[in-house]
Amino acid sequence: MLEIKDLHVEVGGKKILNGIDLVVNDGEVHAIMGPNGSGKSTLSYVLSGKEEYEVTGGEVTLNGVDLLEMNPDQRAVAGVFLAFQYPVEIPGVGTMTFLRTALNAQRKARGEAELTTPAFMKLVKDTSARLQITQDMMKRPLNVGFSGGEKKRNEILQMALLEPALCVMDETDSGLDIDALRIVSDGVNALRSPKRSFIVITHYQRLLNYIVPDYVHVMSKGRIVRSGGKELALELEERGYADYASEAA
Amino acid sequence: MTEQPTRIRTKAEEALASHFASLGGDDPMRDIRATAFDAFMENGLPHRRVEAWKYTDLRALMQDVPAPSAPASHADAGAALQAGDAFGALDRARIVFVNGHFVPSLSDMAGLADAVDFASLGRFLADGGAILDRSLEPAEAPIFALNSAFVRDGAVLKIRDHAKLSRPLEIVNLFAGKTPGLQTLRHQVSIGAGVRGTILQSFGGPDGVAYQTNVVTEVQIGAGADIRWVSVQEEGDQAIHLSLILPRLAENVRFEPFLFAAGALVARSEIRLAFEGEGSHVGLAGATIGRRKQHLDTTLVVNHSAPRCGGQEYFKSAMDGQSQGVFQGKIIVEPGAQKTDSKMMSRALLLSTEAEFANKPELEIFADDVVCGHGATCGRIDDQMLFFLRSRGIPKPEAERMLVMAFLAEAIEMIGDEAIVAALEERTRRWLGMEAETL
Repeated sequence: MLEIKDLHVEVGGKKILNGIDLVVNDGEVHAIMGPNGSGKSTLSYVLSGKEEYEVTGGEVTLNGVDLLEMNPDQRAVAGVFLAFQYPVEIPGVGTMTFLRTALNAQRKARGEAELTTPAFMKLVKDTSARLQITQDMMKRPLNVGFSGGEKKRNEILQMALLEPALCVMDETDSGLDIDALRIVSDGVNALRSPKRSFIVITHYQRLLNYIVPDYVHVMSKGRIVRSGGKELALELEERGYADYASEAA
Repeated sequence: MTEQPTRIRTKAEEALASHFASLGGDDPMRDIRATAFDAFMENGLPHRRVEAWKYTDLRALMQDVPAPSAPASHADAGAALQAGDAFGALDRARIVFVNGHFVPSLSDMAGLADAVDFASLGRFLADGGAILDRSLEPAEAPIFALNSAFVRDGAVLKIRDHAKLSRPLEIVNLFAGKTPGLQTLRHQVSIGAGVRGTILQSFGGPDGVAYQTNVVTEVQIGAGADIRWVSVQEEGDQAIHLSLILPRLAENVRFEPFLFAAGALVARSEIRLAFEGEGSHVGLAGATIGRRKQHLDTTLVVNHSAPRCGGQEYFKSAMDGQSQGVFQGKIIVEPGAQKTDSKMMSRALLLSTEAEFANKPELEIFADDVVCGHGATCGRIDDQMLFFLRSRGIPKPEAERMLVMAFLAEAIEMIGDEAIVAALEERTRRWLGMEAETL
């Protein structure tokens, strides 16, 4: 269970989040929507521990453990996974090497045995096939030369391999065509389980047709200004965000 | 020689003078050596007011010079070869020098007998038949002058016209034992027309021993030859390594040298390359890893004197601790060298706040129909990449090593030979303290 209490965050002295309260129970999917500049992506970065975001107040715990005291790799070990809006290209780091290093780093940190090469290869092969990730992609450097859809599928692959407790998906639908959206959504839905919760950040209702949320929240000016069920997304789709003026606007 | 009363000799210069005076009296090369040594002593060790040595002040960095090294015991030599195996399991022939002396029992030329003639320079030196002053005037280069004065041995290699080397040939240069010494080597490699093959050079020795290596490698490459050349400098952590490579290219040559530098306390690897025929192409690349208080200098002088030649230089350096890196790249395009196409890039990654890197590109262009470019960067590890890796659970030190490895690998991969790239990437991982690659 993720609990966020009165979270205040600044970046470079500028207030971005002004008191976020949110509880995500195990197995729930929460969608966060809102206009540009409302603080959605900031929330995702704060949860995963990006350095330039300064928490000036509030608490964040995952299953009772204080996340804010942890650095990004410790949070990953604790179960946080951020699916990036723009997955980073890293020339020179092979995709397979990266996956194996990440998986084994987490296993090691949890006191589990590292995966053997054959066990790892089989795991990756099975999982990547489900996400229609070709062996050719796996042989390339991480995200280098990947299309937008391939990058997002690669994110879901990492999510599937690392088996996080909390998945934070930052505009995973951006830059995806309908086919890619379906593959990515199917991948995410396959990972839904009573033990795993999701925060799905998106501009558009469209993604939520595929990944159906339990709750929808609207963010504006660094606060959650409205919460409801999945029907709230449909309402937003119809009326737009005009009622929720953006800070940037 | 005439003393210059105004110049006070440093302790290292005094040591060199004393070692030179102690050399054997019946040396048939005595006159050549004396001329070279006098030329060296005229100016002494190069220092920061000499432009080519501005960032590598040998007068300050070389405090003393040990006596010329004695041959190593058989056991020491064998152990050194075991310890300094830069190319790992790569299949190759080896010519092994330990403490500056050829060791036939450790050498293996199998498979190359039809293509390569080899003799040790020591034999030519003993009968006065060696040529030591062909490539440069001693006054032009202090490393060269000292080399002519003190050289004891080296490889004299002749690769026959149109030979295809069935496996790479490595010139191994090792220092063995615990007694500091000065090893001075001259390798003379003559590559015939149309030859295709790979030549490797490696340097290694024990940590904690203040030995010095002075090595000059003369490389003559015949028309149409296609040569890959990889040099790996992994000297011991107290060593001073001075290397000068002098390639001269005939027409339509393809020459691809790669310089890997991770060892030594102070190292200068200098290449002075001359295009002497039309239509040749050089791809010069390198990777440097600096740690602790290492001072690592890579200096290139590429001289285009013939038209329609191309040169690409691509160097990467990762500097940690209080290490200092230097990249100097001088491209000279002489008046007749039209249609020259030359590009040079040096990128440095600074991994600590105390590491330093000096990039000095120099272009001297005297022809008007040429394309010449250069770039130089100094930067830190990319925060976005680091965050991405850490967000997947990879601890910061490991994530940083992965990114440094990736940064250097981009240069290493330019070698273009899978087995050699794999061997050097493995060495790089070892120098960075990473575990072996298992995928």
